[in-house]
Amino acid sequence: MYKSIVITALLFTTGLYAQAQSKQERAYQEESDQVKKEIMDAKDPAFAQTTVPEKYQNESAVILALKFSLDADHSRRKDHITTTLHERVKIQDKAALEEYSEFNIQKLKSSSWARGYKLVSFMGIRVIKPNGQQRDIDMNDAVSVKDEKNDKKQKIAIADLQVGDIIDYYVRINKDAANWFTNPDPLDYSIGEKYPMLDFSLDIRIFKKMGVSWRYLNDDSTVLKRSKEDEDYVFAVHKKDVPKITDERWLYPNRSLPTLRLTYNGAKDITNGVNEKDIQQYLTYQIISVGAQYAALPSILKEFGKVMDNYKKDHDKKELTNKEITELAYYYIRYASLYRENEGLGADIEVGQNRKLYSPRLHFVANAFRQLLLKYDIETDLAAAVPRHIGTLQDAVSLDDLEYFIIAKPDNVPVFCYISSMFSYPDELPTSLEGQEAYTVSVTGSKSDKEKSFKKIILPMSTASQNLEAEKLNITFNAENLQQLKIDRMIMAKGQYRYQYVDMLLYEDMLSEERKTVSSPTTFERDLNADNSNRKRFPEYNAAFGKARKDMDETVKDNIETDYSVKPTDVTYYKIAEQGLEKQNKPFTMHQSFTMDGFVKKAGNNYMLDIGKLITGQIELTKEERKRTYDVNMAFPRTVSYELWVNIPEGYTLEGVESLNKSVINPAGQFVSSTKIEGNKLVLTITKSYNHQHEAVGAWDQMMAFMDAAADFTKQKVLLKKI
Amino acid sequence: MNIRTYTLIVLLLLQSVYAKSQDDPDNIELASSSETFEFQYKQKQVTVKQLIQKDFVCNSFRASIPFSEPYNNQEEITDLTILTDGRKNREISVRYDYLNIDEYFFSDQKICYFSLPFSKQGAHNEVKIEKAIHDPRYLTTVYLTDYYPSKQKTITLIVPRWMDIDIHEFHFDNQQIKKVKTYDKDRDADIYTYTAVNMPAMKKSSMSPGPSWIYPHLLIRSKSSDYKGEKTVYFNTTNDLYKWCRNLASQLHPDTAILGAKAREITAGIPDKFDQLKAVFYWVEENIRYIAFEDGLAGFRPDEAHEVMRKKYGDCKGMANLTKELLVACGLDARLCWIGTNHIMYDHSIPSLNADNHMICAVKYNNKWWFLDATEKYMQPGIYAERIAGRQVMIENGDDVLLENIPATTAAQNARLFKESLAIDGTNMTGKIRYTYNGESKSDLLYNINLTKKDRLQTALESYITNKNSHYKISNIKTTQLDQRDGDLEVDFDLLYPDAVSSFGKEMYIDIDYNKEYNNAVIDTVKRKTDIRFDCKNNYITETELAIPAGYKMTSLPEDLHISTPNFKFDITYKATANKITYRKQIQINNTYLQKTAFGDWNKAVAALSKKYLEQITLTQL
Repeated sequence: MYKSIVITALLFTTGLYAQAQSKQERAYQEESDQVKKEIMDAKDPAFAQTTVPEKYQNESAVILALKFSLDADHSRRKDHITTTLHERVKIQDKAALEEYSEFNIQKLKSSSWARGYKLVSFMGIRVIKPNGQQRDIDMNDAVSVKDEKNDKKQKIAIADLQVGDIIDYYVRINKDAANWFTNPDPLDYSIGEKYPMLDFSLDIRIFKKMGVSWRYLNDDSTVLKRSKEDEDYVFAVHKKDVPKITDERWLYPNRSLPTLRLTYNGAKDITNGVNEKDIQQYLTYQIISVGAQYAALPSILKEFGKVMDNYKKDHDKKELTNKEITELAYYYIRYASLYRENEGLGADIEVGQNRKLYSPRLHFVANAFRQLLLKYDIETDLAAAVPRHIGTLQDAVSLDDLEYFIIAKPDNVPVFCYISSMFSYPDELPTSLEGQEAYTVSVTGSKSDKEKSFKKIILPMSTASQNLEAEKLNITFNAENLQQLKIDRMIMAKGQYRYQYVDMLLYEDMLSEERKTVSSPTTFERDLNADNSNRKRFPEYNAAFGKARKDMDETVKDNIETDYSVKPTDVTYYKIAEQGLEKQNKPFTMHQSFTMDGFVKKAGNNYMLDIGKLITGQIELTKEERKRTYDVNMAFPRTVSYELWVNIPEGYTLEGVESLNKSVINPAGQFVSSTKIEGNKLVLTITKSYNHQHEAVGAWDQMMAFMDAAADFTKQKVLLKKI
Repeated sequence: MNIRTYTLIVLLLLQSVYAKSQDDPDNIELASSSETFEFQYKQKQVTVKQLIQKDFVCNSFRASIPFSEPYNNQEEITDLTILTDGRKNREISVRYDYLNIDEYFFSDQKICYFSLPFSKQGAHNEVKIEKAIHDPRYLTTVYLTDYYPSKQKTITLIVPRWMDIDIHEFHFDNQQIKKVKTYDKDRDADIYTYTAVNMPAMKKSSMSPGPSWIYPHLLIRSKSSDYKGEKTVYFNTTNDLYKWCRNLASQLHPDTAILGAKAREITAGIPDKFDQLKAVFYWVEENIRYIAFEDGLAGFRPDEAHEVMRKKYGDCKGMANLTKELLVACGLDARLCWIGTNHIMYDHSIPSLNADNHMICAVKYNNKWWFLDATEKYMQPGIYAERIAGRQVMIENGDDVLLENIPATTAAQNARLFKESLAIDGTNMTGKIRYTYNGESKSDLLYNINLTKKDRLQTALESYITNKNSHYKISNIKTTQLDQRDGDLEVDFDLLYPDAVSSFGKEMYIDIDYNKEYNNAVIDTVKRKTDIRFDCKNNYITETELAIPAGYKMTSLPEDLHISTPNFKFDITYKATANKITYRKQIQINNTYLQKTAFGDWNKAVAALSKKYLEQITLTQL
């Protein structure tokens, strides 16, 4: 390796390298000049604009014109995609100046493997002063950030750019890619920027022989102008005065903003969406292949019989119902593909937080279920849907938009078999698919059964009460220092909410529980040592497990600090009572005990407890967020409940309890808090819920009502009055 | 900025980026580490051959770690060998690339990096690197610590008798470091060997002083060489250092015509020379963007003044140079000066490239030196940022260096005064408030405000004042000009803070201080093992008058808090009359360097302060 450094060093100093580069540089420069002429001389009136309407005088910046164009062409072996972004911006404050004064350019990127491609970028920048004076930036001012043979990146700082100037720049990217393996990158373009736009245009031209599938969403369909010019399919959009996008929270651009989606379908025609027949063909015959070549699959099929036997023995059963078989199959496939350590020699041992991120391939999972359940004569369908943040089922433009999974039908009752992570449950859908329409087709039975079974269904949605986080706190005032609280906290999480607590579980404990679930007959150590190449790894695993356990102490402390915005003085106890890894067992439950300073204020002989802060942080909307333009799309409907038991210390009474009772209930959700006194304890019960995953923008006022009530509650105090 | 200094910063930054195995420094350790420096005479030049040898061992479980070594035109890598478990490893992909860190727009510093795999417990990876330092001036600091804990580190200096150097030792007390000096007859050289045993890893922490303040290291100063009659002087005296730096600056050819025209434009209609000085200084602060651009010769050569003006951006050297040339065009005695910020422990008494990492402009006016640092953006002349206050500078002065010190500052410079006139309306707190900022507190506010989008400026100012609490409602905001650098910055506003007062029966409880600075700012003495450097000498003063509402009287008032140490002062007083409560708080940092021996005092003081913040004032209905 060192030899190449010396040679490179020599080349640098002798100038040979420089000479070899200059031919390539010259070709690049020539093409760059051509591109500049083409774009800057185009005489587009939108790009001659210099003034900003009065209503936008106070904006940080105004986009005078923005044009995005794409040209797709292909030859026998290669696809050529040319994209151009041309933007003209008036800079009106220092923040925008900072944003537009430096640019990065990926000048060249290429890969010579089978999916070979070559990407070349050109950039041109022009600065126009308020007095009309124009100046083109010399791109040779750019400095290299990466200078390898097939990866060249540059950065440029714009000289003499000030507030009040207009910056007019373009980026042209030419991508050539071998086309026998994959299609070119699809386009998903949502219209809207964080600055207002005076003029926006989109111009897409695709050589007709490449074939196009397209959809235009969330806008009047007449806005998209389609035509055929020469041999190209043309898509064009032209808008004037596009307001800036201010909604950031809970916004799905594909579902709210005007969006053009398109892909290259290779079918040489133009289709709106995807042909249902194509989807049927794909699902019925292309995903499920008998003997799909996955290394893990044969062993899973072979071992499952023994797993069932062990399971029957452990649970004292003579036979298993089809449903039980299906669920056991689910856990076994989940275990075999995600929990087991199957690595070769030399790979790192990862047993910390990153280990829990493993996820399987959809294709593998579908085939594993199909083949395993077939052995036990359990019918299966294959279902496919489009994730919510991408669109509805009709908005798919290619088969890649579909996520698919098996629906098992033991005794004709459907069980969803979607595995996304180590924590997925049988018959649970990922939040991105809940409520979506799906295609289903039978993948068992005769050919005509399969053909007849293709239909559409609606996938179920979970409810706010199913996705629950319940906290119970027992709060005691330290008798020697009433300003210090001792808190015993229990958190239980069910449904989609349990994924929020994944970081609190230790892989070591997860693994040992799962081995019990699937009635694995051997120990972890034996399994490791059985594979010769993994011999002697067990002590290393032990060391790694020990470190992960130690790190978890830090995570517990950090998470408490995040929850309450105050560092606990001490964490005295922590335990995961239930990991919640299986649907049939108890839900995730965690216990913590810690002491906290800073929640009790002193007032003469009395004390004031910031009781509102004990329900952890609530969303506080900014002034800007209160005005909403687009629908609300959240991950899942949910409920959070708190039950606080405050032990009133001897010699004190509690005042101010009445003002803790609040109730805001409306169709979008609720915030309800109520109190009762039981002996020397105050019991405070709080429920907050977001009832739906989606709310129309008209319901924003309702959402704000209960969100404000929750935020206000955090300010509540009660008084400990000395008797 | 000097390579060596920022190399360390850079590597520390890299370390945090590749944080994987760093969380457990015990897993990978340096079984042994050594650096050998040999002064050689080659092709009529004195050069230094550097041999680095690092032997990493895996203590617990297999992992892989990132390894990197910087290089540039003055320090080249000439050989690299990696031995995994004793055998040459030809599978590791070694990369050579530009060094990219967010803070530097561009740097000619390059980096050689690769991943070292450890296949099992007990596995070793040995990295051997040979480097050629082309000029002995570039050999400056060598640390006895590393980014991993090391069982043993050896530094060997082979100094032939024709080479005259000084070796300065820092932070050796309470460390297990042995030093041995021998004489090698064959080489006619003195050999200095330093051996450090069981050194903990250097860790990146927030609010850390520069590494030269805390870690044991050597500062090697090449003074001169006399090889068979060929004499060369390196940094024998401070003047030698000055001459070397100045040589780079004297290769500049400012376009005086353009600069003169600009200077006249900026100072048109301003007859007073000091006002002209301010006008020029403020123009550079306002119009030139700071972009750190380290290029060529270890980043010591400043950019041409007229170039900085054309580009409207530059780094500290470019901006200092532009400031100087514009002031010279105004007829003022302006000069470049080299300075080491408080990131660096040394001053120029040991002449070395490590002494300076910044450049500013000095102006002599009315027999007094004024130091202008245009990178500060919102400072007026005479106000000095903490990082340069009190530091020694080398001022351009013909052939002989002029050493001066930037005046030291006190917390008084940075006063931030909150004056509040409050009243109670039901359970709401209302009032008229004036915030006055000066010194670094002013420049902090202006910097944050001006970086915010214009349409959110009002909101930004509000957020800054309200600490982003939408319940603390302020209105009717009036400010002195936000782009003005002279004088105090004042912000006046009306306050409506609903439900700020807690009312229970006949009692009202008042939390009188909305801004609780340093609340719970306890230092974790278990995790934090190195000294702390505060940003600046903060000086927060709050003076609040609260009118007691009719029909109420004050029934309990917290006791005063007086904590005063040489490093800081926390002072809170409460006074009450029949109809008014007066609250005064002053939090003052006098010394930004907090040694770890003082952490206990700090924590005790912060605990008392935090507890005081929790105390309410009680008003009872008559």
